[in-house]
Amino acid sequence: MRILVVEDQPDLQRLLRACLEDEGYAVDTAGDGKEGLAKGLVWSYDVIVLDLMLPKLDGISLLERLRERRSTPVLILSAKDALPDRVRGIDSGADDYLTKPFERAELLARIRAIIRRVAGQSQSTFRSGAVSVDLRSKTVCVDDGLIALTSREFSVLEYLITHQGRVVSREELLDHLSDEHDESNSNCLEVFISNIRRKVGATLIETRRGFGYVIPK
Amino acid sequence: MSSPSNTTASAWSLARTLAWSHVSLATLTVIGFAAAMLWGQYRGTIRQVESQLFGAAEAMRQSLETGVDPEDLSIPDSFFHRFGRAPRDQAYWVLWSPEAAPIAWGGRLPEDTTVSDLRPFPLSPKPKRPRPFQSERDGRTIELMVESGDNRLMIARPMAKEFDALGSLGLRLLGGILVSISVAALMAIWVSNRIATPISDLAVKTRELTHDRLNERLDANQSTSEMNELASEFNSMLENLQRAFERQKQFTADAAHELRTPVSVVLAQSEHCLARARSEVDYRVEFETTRATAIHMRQLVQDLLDLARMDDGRLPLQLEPVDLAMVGNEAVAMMSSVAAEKLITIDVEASPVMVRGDQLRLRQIFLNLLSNTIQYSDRGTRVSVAISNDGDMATMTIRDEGIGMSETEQSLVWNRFHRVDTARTVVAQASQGDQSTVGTGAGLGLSLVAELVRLQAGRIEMVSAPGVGTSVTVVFSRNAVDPTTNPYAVCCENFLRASPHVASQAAGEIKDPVKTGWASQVLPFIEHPALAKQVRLSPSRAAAEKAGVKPPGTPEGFHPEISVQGEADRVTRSRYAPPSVLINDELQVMELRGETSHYLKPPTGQASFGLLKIAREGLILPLRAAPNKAIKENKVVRKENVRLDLKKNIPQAISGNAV
Repeated sequence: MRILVVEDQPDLQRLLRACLEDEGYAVDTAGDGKEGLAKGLVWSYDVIVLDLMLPKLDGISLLERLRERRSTPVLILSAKDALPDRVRGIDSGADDYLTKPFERAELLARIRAIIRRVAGQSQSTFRSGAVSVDLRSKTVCVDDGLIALTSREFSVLEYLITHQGRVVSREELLDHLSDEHDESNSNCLEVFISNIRRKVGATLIETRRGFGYVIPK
Repeated sequence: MSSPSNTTASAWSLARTLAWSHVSLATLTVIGFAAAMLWGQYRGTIRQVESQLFGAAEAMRQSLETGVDPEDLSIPDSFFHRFGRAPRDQAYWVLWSPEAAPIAWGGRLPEDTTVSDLRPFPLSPKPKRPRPFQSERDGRTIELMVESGDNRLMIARPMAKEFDALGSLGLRLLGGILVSISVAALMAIWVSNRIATPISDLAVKTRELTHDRLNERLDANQSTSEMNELASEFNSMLENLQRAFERQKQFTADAAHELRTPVSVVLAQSEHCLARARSEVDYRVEFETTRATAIHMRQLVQDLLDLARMDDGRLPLQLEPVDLAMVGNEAVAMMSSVAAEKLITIDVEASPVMVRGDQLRLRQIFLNLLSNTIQYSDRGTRVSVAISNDGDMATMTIRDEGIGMSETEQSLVWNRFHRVDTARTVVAQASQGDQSTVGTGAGLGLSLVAELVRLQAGRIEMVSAPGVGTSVTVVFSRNAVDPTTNPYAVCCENFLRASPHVASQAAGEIKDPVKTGWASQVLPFIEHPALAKQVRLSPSRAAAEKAGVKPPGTPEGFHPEISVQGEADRVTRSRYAPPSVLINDELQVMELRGETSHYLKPPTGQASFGLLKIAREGLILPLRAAPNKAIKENKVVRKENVRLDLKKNIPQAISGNAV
């Protein structure tokens, strides 16, 4: 899962990145509205965390211009807590609105909820055959036995299982697993996939030659 | 009409009062009118009856004079009919001899009365009116007497039918009174309601107005022009209230908003750190961030507090003569490290100039302006600071080569929470704990400057063009003397004005203006002839000479060994300051000012500085109570009209201020 944080306050930006990376997300950051819009238009993020008071381009304008081209889920994280601001934010195309100061746990839960909603799921536990993936506790079970996956392996599995039934191309998978500074090459992906197959079972992830990977429904 | 709940039960409503006063006025008028009418009618009736009786009496007298025998005398028929045929209207008559013996009588005497019961009433020698008869009224009977030769003829009759007429008139008047009072009452109720209803409506509406319904307005089309005026005044008051309230709301919202970001940082940082075990470096980073954020918040809170106090007019300003150049240099020195980070050079061109102001607040003005200038200047540019003395004005100009501002922007920068950019970019302060007075980056710095300059009777001029740079000039009046300061301060101000060149030289030498106080800042260098004379003739010196102590130096002119500064202080204080003492919190006298001998009398024995020991008797109690009260309540305590029993002195009023 790849998240863009648009926040101009340097401390807060650093903290948001640290929190989200701790949770295994790939995080990009932008320090002003223009940079945020550019990144949001170029990459397909799973969630954008957006501040409203930004230099160069304010959050609402950024959101409106982003929505002309993309439907990336957006969570507004702003110090503006008045009702008109919240309504305007949601009406401009945001998926959720969280006011500062925020609780870390709430922010992470809301991000998980957005990811779940986009995947069309109502629970945070995904199942496929004997395998169940809990996005909340970041655990994978096969027949009630806990499987230890590395965080990158879990990220691959998480992305595939939230898009269950859809063939995910290697490029898309790589885009969503690595942030802008990540330089790992595409061969790593094969390694992760084979590791997952070894640990969870070879039948879970199917390879569609020339298209990508899929976890069938 | 509902009476307001907060009025006392005994208070009448306006409508009731108005109605009652209308009705009582109307009643009084109508009753007075009716009474006057009835009285007039009564008098008229009596006159009429009297004239009829007199006519009859005159006719009878003429008959007597023509020789008719008194026995044959009777009331002429025409009068008999005029008086009324009913028995109770009929008249009777008696003719008395000069000895008051009845000679003859006739007519219908009153029942149970014989002629011997009747007596002629004594004739008064001076009748009230020039009438040819005299009359008396006895109950309803009117008696009229004329003289016929030496005899006296009385004719009398009861006024039955006249009183009947009067009674029926009275009844009709009573009816009229009742009807007109009822009509008046109805009209009074209508009128008073018409007057009072808008007022009570106003009261009801006012009661309904709460802080969240300030946008409501009263109807300006009231029934009377006074009410119209009241309503429009009320509306304009509401307008002002609403505006002030919204400003306050906006300010609170902005303040909360500004505090949210640092709180978010602290909260997120600590939660992030606590989420799992971290390395020592991580913890260090966390604490540093938290500290920097806390410093930022502290400044924000301080600024908010200052602004709030200034809004209330509660910001304490210690106005004293301050050298603007010195303050400016200090501020520049404090900001130099911040400027150096951006490779900005600050040129200072300052000539000493004394103004009346609060030193700390003046420095804050400088620091905020400088920090703002540095924040919006590009790396490697120059900032020039000029402080000069422009006649009666002291000007301070900060000019930069920064980004500049458009005219709209210029009018907005002094607003609270305004930022040139909509974003909130905090000046890096992580390693500048001591620089906490530096601008907050919250957009409060310049509004603070505006308020502080206004409070110190100054004004701000701004010249700016985008891309060229900005020049901010703060102008203080050098003559601004706050009349609330003590005369002692005013005197020093006068000295300053009398010899500005000396004063500005003096300013360069001031070591510790706060500690040394007013006079010592200025006076040591003043070569004012009058003052010089005072110094020479100062009592302490005279006393020293008297005591046989050889004063050092030559007897004329200045003596370097005498503390000129101290002498000048003392002279100024004794001449210009009111008698006063400066005490510490143990009531020990620290300093005597003015002629205090009326109030203080050192007792014999061990010397003491204790105020209560050296104060005169009548002053001991108030002087003990006042400082305690002042300390306890933290405000100025006044005690006046304390009478002192002095042998020669007329008892005087003493007033003292203790803080």
